[in-house]
Amino acid sequence: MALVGLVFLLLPLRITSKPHDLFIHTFGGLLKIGSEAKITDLPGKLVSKETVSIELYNSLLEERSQLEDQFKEIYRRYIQLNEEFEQATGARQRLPDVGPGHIWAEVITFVPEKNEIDINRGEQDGIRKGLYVIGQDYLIGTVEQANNYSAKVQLLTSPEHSLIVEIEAVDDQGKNIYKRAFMKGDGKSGCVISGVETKYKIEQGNYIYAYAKPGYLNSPLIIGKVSEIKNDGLAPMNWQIKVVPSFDISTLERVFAVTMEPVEGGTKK
Amino acid sequence: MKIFLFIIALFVSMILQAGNITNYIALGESYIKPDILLILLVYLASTAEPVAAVILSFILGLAADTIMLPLGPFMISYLLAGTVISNLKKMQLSDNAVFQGVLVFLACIVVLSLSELLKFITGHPISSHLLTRIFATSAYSAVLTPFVWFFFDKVREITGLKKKNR
Repeated sequence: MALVGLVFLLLPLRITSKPHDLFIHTFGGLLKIGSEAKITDLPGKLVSKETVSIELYNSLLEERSQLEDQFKEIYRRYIQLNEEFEQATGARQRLPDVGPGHIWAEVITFVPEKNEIDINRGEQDGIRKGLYVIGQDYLIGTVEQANNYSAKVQLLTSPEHSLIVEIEAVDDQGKNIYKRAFMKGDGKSGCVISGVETKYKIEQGNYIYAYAKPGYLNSPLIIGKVSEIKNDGLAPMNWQIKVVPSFDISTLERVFAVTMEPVEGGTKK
Repeated sequence: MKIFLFIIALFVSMILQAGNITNYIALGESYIKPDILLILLVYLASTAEPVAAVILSFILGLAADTIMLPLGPFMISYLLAGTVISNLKKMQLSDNAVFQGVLVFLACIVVLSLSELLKFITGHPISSHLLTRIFATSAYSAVLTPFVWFFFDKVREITGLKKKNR
């Protein structure tokens, strides 16, 4: 029997992931019951640095609120119709894309020890390893493993997850820039950026963006905010920057993977 | 009846282990949770007949692998732990709550370490903060073991399955 285990271990995941897919799809409803583990409560939002009148602000706020309500209603109806279609036809329905190259997926479980989430879409739906995954308008991680009908998404907070990012900063000539840097998860609830020289002025609360990657992400996306900045003990001429991701996993129910085809060059902000 | 109870216990344990419900009792920022399937493994291995213990250990390992891919590491490590524990039961000590806890603690350490080692050798990603996580999960599982075993014993009594001497 140990030999059977060894054989399974050496087989490709594409083959051995089928029982996992079946389990997730059969018991998905039960697995979701309970408390979602919380990563952060900080709902960061990109705001314009220009000011507007209070009347315009209130009017825009009201308009946004109405649009959000309409969107929720349309989206709820969309999910309902899709479920009815699946029941009526008895066949699994691939959700149509809601935008160019986007595939919606439901979050089944959060695996805190690995900083991963399981989603209910896999290779059959177009999900593949390396795709960027977005939830609540923020980048939350990348697809680590795509099974046939499910996938594992490695969150930004995983220490195995690394990403090129851009930080809002002011250079030594006083010019506002987006400084490119390398970010890793801290294995808990945040991320760490190192290697940025102290000549750049970076403040707590500055936004961090995922750098556009040709074929995966056509425009930069907010990741979170700088929560702490101090001198790097190992390299005193560099900053060590702690980042709090903006997504809140406790309310994360649906995400979408970006599936655009590779393009020549990325778009800049 | 025994098989029916085992299947229920197996699926309930899988759902508890993989689902969000046990986040209510998770500890710390790293969400340390007890390893329900391992507690069940040690209980069954120390109560079942040796041959049955080996088969049940393999099935429980398969269940653990199904929850946390890839398939294989837990099958091997559960099988090893189940076989050893089924031989240990001759010591007739496992009615003692402390012994139960220690047994589960050691089983957790061995099974979790071996499975991560197997994953590492075969090129699969391993968990972060590994040593802390293995130790904390083992300790948490050990503390809960007497209560979970008491519950298992009660279920067996209620369902009329004779409680065997461990």
